[in-house]
Amino acid sequence: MKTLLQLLWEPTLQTIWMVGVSALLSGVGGLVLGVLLVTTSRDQVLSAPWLYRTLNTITNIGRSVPFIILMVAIIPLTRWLVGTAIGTTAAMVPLVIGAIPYVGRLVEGALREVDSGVIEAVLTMGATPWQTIRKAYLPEAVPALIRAMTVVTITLVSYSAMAGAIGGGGLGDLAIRYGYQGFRPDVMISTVVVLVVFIQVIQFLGDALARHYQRTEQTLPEVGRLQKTLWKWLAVPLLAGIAVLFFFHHRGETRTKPLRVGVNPIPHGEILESVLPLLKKQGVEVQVVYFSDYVQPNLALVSGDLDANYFQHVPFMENFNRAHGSTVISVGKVHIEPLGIYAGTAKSIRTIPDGAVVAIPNDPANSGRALLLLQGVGLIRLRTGTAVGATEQDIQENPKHLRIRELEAAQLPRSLPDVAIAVINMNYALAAKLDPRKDALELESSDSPYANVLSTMPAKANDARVIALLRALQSPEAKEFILAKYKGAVLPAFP
Amino acid sequence: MVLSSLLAGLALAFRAWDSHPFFACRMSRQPCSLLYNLQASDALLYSNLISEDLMPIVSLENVSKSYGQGRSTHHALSEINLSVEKGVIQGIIGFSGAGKSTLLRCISRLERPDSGRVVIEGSDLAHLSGHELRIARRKIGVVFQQFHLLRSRTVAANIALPLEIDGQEQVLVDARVKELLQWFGLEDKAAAYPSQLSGGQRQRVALARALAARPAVLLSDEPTSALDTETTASVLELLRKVRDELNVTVLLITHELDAVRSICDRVAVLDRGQIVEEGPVEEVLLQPKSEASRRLLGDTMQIGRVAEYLGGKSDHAHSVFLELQLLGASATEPLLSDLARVLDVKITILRAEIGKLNRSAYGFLLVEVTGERGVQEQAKRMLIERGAVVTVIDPWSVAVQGRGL
Repeated sequence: MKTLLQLLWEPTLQTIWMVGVSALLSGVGGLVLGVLLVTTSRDQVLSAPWLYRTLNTITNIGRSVPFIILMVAIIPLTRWLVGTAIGTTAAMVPLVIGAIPYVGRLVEGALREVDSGVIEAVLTMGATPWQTIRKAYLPEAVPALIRAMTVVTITLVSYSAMAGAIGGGGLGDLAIRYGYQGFRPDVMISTVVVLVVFIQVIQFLGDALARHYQRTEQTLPEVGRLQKTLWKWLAVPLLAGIAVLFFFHHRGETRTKPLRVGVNPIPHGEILESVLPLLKKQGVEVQVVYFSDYVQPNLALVSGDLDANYFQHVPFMENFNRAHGSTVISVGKVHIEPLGIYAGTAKSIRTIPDGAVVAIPNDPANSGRALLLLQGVGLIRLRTGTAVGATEQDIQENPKHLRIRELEAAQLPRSLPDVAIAVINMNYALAAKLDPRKDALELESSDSPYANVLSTMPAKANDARVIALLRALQSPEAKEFILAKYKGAVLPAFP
Repeated sequence: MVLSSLLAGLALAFRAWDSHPFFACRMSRQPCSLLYNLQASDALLYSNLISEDLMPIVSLENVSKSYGQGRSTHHALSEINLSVEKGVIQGIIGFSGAGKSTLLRCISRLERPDSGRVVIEGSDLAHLSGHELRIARRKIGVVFQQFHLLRSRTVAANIALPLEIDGQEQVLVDARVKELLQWFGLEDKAAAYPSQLSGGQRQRVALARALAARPAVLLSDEPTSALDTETTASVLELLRKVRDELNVTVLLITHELDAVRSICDRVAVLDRGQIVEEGPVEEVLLQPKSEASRRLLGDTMQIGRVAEYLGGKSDHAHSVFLELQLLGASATEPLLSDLARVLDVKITILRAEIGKLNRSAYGFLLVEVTGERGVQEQAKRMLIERGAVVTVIDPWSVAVQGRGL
């Protein structure tokens, strides 16, 4: 188990790196957009109504696309720009593109606050449009621009939390992964504390800078000079420090080309981490890329951003292949996480009252699997012939008139007090500190088709490193780790 | 010998002139040689009549501008014609809404007039665009009511801005800025930011900035309207100094009669988008011909309020009420005491003001003359003979009409 500090260090750097670079790039892009929005509007120095309308529309569209959708939609662009669609650097592309329209609007607002009389005064001096922008619009708006960039940077911090979906890491992702899904309140709280400090610092620096450039009575005479020297002392080491940090961080990311494996954190990530020393001895360098959802690891595998993933069972994989026309294949089974029925308000399956609420996962592969398990204990009967892909519509008999509620898988443990029973994936049950042997009313049998597999693309199936990885995951050391760590809740699915 | 006696004669004549209270104040401003004084004052006195260059430096020809379309069209300016000669301080006065700002915006080409020509030193700004317009604009300096200084720049950097825009070398820019800071007495404020300055200081910086690129014409848009009375006087004096010493032609757009009165050589009265009257300031202000000018110049004497304390009209059956305007020498002569000595009349002064108009003295009196009707007529004739402009008024009907602004 990593210590809290070890856990926080890497994501903190990732967040600084992501937010810093994205703020810088989106600042530049947004500045250009904002200047154009102001100067091309009617009766302004570059008056071009059609260009203004076009930019205005694009900006509005850009601002209305939800970030998570934008992130997935521009994957091809991301790959083209930075060579990969996963990881911290890749997360910056959607951050920048998502932020540019936002920055543009803020810049527009800041520039429109510049006294139009000042602009006219400069025009009467015979200034060109460019001179008007450079000598009047921008310098006059500096305090407002700094305030806008402060807002943008803070917004980017919270947006960067969503970067976890494409393996971007960062503090927000850590909070979601370990804190929310992994039920480690200590991690969640300390991450939030770090984020609060972050935002305080950004806001403080932004305010101080804006005040400095305000050139008003209060900030000027002696204080102005003092601040100036203070800044000189502070700014240089600060910028240098950040630059050095970025350099090393970035170098670390691009220098080696390890085998990239996508996993869900528990238990896949833990099992994989346990065999890393073994792989290292064989000279196989593995980069573990954590995902907090079930779609991205396969998308990243198909696109080549991952060499392998280890998070799914075969029915889910086949489902994905059908939906996406892809050819993800299984290299071999690693473990099985029996789906379990956990007691909510009902203390046993027999005592479930008539009309009780039963919660099951809402993703198609797991909901079918849950229904099969409910059929296995005789609570419902499914139409004959339906198996893996069963849905609620396939329920033929429901003698207890159970009301089935489909919930997000991670949400199920939290729903227990509100339902009679819940069908919960093992990883979420473990994360919620449920004891499968004590708390589960029923577990899937070990011959279930739902063993989790190591998947890859056909082209990489014979890659020596992938084979070495499978061997390591199916090694006696792995078996020992699984049995010791999960005490039977997770079972090895290999001999 | 002949020449020296001539000079001596001139000197004597001049001294007599100088001793006159009205001229004394002006002469004392220039403690140079007598001869220089004479020439200088000569040039100033006749600057309206004798110009080195008869071609006007600013010439507006049939300038029109309207806003909106169809029924809602608002004719902000219609057919404006105005010529301003070099070295003149030309006032343009009007009520708010008369079209003053539009006119300024058309001259500085912040707006393009719908028709007509705006010729500044030979180039027609109304029909220029792009690079040529930018070059032509550098012939005009503009100062605004709200100063419009760049708050992000120091005083020195504000003054340097037109020169930077002109693309001048840094060395030249620095030298020119230093020169201007000195001329405007702003040396100690060079590194200050506009927010640290008082209104009057800001307007001085704005003036220095407007003049940095050595424009031929200075457009001033209500330059004193945001300032207090004392500062207003010093800024106006500065405008005059700009004309006198830097030889810049000044267009002063204002709604303040005092500003026109104290520094303008000529004034144009703008009313509902038209110039209704234009001429030397003494003429226009003392003998306004148009209804608009009269309204504008208005009731500075508040004649209407006299009736309030005169009592009923019947108490003054043997009186005539006269409004007297006196300009130049007649303004300072003992006109009324002469009148009372010569004729059998009683004279009551109800209102009186003596002041300066541009550089001449002027007097403005409201008197009640009581006596026989024939004698009243004699008094009127005598006043007219002595150079007064006489208007018979009826304070009661004035009050009813609500004369004044």
